Amino acid sequence: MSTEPIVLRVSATYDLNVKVGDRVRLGERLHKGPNEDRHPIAPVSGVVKSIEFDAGDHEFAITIAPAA
Amino acid sequence: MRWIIIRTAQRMRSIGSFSPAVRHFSIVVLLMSVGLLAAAQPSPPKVDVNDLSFYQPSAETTARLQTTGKGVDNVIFCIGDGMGLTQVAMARVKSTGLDGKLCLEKLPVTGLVRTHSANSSVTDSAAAGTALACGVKTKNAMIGMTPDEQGYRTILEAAKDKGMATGLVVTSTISHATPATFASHVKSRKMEDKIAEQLLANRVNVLFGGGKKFFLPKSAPKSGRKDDLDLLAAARTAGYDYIETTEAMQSLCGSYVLGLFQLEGLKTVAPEPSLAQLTGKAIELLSRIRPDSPDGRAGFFLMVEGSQIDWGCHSNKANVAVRQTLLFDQAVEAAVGFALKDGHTLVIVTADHETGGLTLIGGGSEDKADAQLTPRWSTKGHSGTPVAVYAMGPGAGQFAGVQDNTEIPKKIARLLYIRPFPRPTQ
Repeated sequence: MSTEPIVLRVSATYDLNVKVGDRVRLGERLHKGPNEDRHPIAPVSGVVKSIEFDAGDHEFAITIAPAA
Repeated sequence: MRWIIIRTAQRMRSIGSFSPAVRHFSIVVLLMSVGLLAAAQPSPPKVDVNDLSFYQPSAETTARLQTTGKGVDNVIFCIGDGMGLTQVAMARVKSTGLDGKLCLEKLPVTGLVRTHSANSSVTDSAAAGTALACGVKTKNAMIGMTPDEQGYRTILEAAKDKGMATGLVVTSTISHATPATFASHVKSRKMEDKIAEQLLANRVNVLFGGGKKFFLPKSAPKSGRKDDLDLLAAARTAGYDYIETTEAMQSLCGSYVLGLFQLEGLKTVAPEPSLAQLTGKAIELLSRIRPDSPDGRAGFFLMVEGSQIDWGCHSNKANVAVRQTLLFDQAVEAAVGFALKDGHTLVIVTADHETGGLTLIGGGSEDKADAQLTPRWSTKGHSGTPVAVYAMGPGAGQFAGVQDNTEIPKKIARLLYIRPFPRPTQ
């Protein structure tokens, strides 16, 4: 399995369930959006390395380093 | 540049031991080198977010008088993106002190606005903008249409149909969610290339902001389009004057103007024009347009957005949020200045939603001048708290009390005798 960090882009509207340094598990919901929306989920288990706001796309770029 | 100057000073000291002719020649060569280096390495404009010296608070703290008994000719609708009550309070404390007032706080009528969208208690700018522009609720991310994708005429489009001149002035891309909701109808805010096309097709008289990349064909470097449409060429063909600099903006006098000052959002620092300058110029241009109406004056509708208050709050950066709120307040001041002279202009200031769940805590010091208030953020996203609305001018009293965001354009429509509103596009 690749250990390259994975960048996930999610809507910046909603409160995030994760912060930098958190351990996330595969399939974990990353934000608190409405139930009818497709929820962004962690594609791998690992650690949240950074969360950057992208103003142009109004999204957060969440970088997850996969667990070894 | 600072490094170059220090090194130059060191070298000039070392030259002191040579003969006068050699010294003179060496100094000339050195100074020319510095000049060439400085010219070859233009440093990008830097923003000192802690420098609030650009903002000069007025000593006047009383509310401005409300204009009554007059009709509404012009509407200036100012939207602070993400500007909750606490963002306003924080900007006030930082710039004028606890007892001061921002310009927007001096407007005589205040109310509260509910902001939920059709699918969430926490709205985004697309759904909130659609509510403020069309008077209908929609799902987050949708622009100018209801959840079943029925387009609704915006208050700007309705004003244009009535013969009024129209304008959009923002610090984001001109095709970003809030300006988009006033003159376009698309399923997703991400369709900025389509939104840019619709802004021009709608023949909005004044378009000032960023986002040049969505007007460039995909073959152009840094284009944001997926097709070969050259919207800058199309705009010129359609009669728009296109400009990119403050100097060019100052000499504008046409009835259709497109000013795109950055590829993406504005930097909000010189040499760009400030939001207040853009607002002042837009008012000047719009108030000059004389349509073919019997009395030669049909008025104008202008939406001004302080787009980047939201961006500072998403990053939970209080100093950025304060600076952007003050830049927005200066634009409100430009609108108020015109409205006070004109007497027939309604100014409405509100927000689309609050961002960051911001509160101010502390205040332990007994010395009021030493306001030890600390910003505390509860989210990096938006919150569902109500926002304030401030108004002045004829009809301003309509905006007092607690209201839904969809009621605001309905009230504007009533004051402009636009009926029916809301109304589907087809």
